[in-house]
Amino acid sequence: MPLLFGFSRMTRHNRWLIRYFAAGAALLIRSWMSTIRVRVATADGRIHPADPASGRFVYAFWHESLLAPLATRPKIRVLISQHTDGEVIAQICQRLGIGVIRGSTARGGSQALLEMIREAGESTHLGITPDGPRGPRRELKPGIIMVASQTGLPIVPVGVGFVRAWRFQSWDRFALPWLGSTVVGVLGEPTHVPRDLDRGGLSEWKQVVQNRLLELTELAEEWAARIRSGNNSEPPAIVPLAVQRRSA
Amino acid sequence: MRRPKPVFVTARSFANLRPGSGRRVLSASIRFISRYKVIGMDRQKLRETLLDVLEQETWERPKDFSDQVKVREGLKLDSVDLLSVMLRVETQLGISLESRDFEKVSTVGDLLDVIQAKLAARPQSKAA
Repeated sequence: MPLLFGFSRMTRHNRWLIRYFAAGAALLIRSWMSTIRVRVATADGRIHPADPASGRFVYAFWHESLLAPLATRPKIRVLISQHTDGEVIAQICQRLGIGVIRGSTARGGSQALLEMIREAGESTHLGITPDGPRGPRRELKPGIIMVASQTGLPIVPVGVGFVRAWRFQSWDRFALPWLGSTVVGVLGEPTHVPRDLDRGGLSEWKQVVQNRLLELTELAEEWAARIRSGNNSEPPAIVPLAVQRRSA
Repeated sequence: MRRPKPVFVTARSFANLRPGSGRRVLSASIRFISRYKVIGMDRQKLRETLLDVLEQETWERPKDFSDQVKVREGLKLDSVDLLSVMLRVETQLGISLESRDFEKVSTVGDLLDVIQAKLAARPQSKAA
């Protein structure tokens, strides 16, 4: 959330200010997102976000569409940095009912990934923006494959399209949907990643998931464009993942 | 090899510690202990084990694997590679890693220090 970074630098030592700001921001985001209409199409007919009691997933969506899942109030846990910027975002997430795993990304992410694997828990989904926190935009990093491989949770790639949204001039072109606009989500089938992958395996699966996420994002953006032009608002036909590889 | 001069720790030494000294004292202690093979697994044997794991993980066996080699620049390991290696070591040696252990890792020597410290902290039944 690019708007928060300048603020958190100013309030580095002021916990109360951070707390009040987080409460205000959470209220604003909740009110804003409650005006958003959400339409979802899934590849396997499953309802998402699923009830964690019936099956848990790692939801993957690009960093630019970070706000979109908030409109569906998912039972999800996300990884937030341990820095002051992260403290503000973590408090906002907690007030929005999103679970938080704190991990440091300062040393290239090993710590953060281990935190996520160790603290995956048993009652919520995991949410990962695989091109975050610094990009490049829409380029998947292998961390999500590692987490899925170690936790055994399948990845559900989520393509997001905004019918009308403002775009920030940040590395990810962060999207803020217009008040009362529609956001569409196109979700793929759960992808099972084999356990204990080596470097070659991680790279191979990274490519599989990245391609699927790009494909679903394209479908979602095309769907959003159709709704915007008023031509045809039918959900897109999702072709199942051609190669479904499962661990032996 | 000439034996290093013994260092006596007194109450005054602790009183004079500055922030950050704890880590230096800990790593110096680990180096001292490992030099005299006090900890169960010999450092050289551990180095071999780590090399094997690295080879399994990356399909490459680095020529230089001395203590000074940088993990990122020298071995070309990114954060995911490093975590993969450490998780494999964890399973193989029966140790339990924590995320803060990665704060200390920058060179091969640091990596060996962390593993040795974990081996030393392991319950005796497992270590045997």
